[in-house]
Amino acid sequence: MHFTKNRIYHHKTVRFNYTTYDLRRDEDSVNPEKRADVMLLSHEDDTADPHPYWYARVIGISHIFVQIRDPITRKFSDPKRFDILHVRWFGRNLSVQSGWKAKRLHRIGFIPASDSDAFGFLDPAQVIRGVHLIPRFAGGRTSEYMGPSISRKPSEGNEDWVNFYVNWCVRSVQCPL
Amino acid sequence: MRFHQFSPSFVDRDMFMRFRGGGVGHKSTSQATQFAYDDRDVMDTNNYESSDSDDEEAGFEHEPTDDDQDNQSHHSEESECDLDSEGNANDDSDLDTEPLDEYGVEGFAEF
Repeated sequence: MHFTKNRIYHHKTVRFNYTTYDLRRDEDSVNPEKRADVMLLSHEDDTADPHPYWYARVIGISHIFVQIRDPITRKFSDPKRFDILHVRWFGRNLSVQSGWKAKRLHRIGFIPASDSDAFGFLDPAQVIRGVHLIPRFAGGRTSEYMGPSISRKPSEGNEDWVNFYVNWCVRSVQCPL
Repeated sequence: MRFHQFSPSFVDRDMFMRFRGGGVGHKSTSQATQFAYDDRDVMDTNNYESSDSDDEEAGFEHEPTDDDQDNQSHHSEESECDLDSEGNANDDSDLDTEPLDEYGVEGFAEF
């Protein structure tokens, strides 16, 4: 396998198109500097406490051209483009109840960097849309999840919020929270 | 409205419906949002079961086991509160025979 010209092309932003609930088109612009959080469909096997979505913070956007060398003819195939999101995964805080019945927003937090699933590469096509996360201010910040890292913004001061709320419901007539 | 200042576009009716389930535009993820069908407040459950046709319009499939469970809790609550002696709001045959009050709302006359 060969990266064409040995290059990885980085991007500032990525935009996700999606169909809204009322069949309109909409677009979310996501970039690692601000508004970096996205959601995608979950792939969970256990059905004890199912949740439909996974959440991730985008820390890098890039594309590459990949060629594969044929083992017999030693010829490279045509370059094929792959779009890549470098993400830092959120995990769901299962110690608190959330959702409609509990009348609480879903609570998530970063997966500790010691876990092999803390970071990952993601096909942008998997992303449903951007998501707004509210830091759980009462929970404070911690450097427990990860030491100093370039995956954070300098303004974050090498610390993460312990938990975030997934903001799916703005206080309004229709919202029960 | 405080949240709007943080993010004008990411939190909207679409986001709400991602967690509510049943949006026509969300057909591709409708299986995943089935979870919202079970994640309901008791008060919502009673209202929900009073009209079967609405359930299907909203894109929810009937899962008989869940419905049975809900019905059972429904019954016990009603017998405790003694609001509705029939207690079978979900049963079509009972709906036909149940007397309606002057507003045309079944079960209302007991109050």
